[in-house]
Amino acid sequence: MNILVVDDSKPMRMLVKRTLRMAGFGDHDVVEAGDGAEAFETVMKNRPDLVISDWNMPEMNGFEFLTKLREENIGVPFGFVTTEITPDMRKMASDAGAKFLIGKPFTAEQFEKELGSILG
Amino acid sequence: MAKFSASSTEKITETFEIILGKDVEIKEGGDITPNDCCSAAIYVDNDGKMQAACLFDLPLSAYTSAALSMINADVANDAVQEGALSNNLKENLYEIFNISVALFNERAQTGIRIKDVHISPEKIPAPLISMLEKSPAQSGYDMSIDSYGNGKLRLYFL
Repeated sequence: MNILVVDDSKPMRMLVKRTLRMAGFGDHDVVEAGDGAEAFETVMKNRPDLVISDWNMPEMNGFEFLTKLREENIGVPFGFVTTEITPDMRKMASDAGAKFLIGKPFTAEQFEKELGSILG
Repeated sequence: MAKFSASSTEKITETFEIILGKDVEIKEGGDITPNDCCSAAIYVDNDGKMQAACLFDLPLSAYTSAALSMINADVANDAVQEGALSNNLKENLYEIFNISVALFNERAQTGIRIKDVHISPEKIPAPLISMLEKSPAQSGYDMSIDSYGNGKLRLYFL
């Protein structure tokens, strides 16, 4: 399967990839994007099986990216990994169709729990 | 000076072990000041009001930022010897400070987020140094990172 990791921080994308490996998902292909706009282009080109995205990013933030995907009827499973989590953000994410919202710092166990049913 | 705990040593240990993917030991100590630290992160609430700060000395700045992306410990040791972090290490350090907001969120009344990071040779603004020095709510720690080394950190609630 193909996982798209979206974050404007290169170290954070690396951290997400490391946690994916620790959670047992290391055999999946991972592609990266640095903001929502780049990620949208990557989705159109690569059609990933899962998107893991930061919320706060330049150009197009993670929520705008998810909204744009759904407007284009692209139903790829989508989850947020973000530093700041508020009840409003949880509701917005859920209403927009996000499967999960994980706070930083995150653990391999959290990834296993949230991503297991998607990645199998 | 009153001691305070933004988080328990267990919580701080757990937070850095998750971030770095390494075994970490934390003990109370960390006798660094805003004048002799290497790096500082400032955290604000939703209204932009300064709420907390985190200081690292040079060794901790180098070792945490190297450990984050499994950069060889020799690179971190070189940075300590030279007294400066490479851009690569600075980028990692910013992300460590960004995630370290979790150390304060349990105690904060509202959600807080990172605002600024100052990394040597950039100076911490004098008014901020003064504010940190006067803060009655601060606590220091010595941190040891497996395979890398030891350093000092100090946490402030403003």
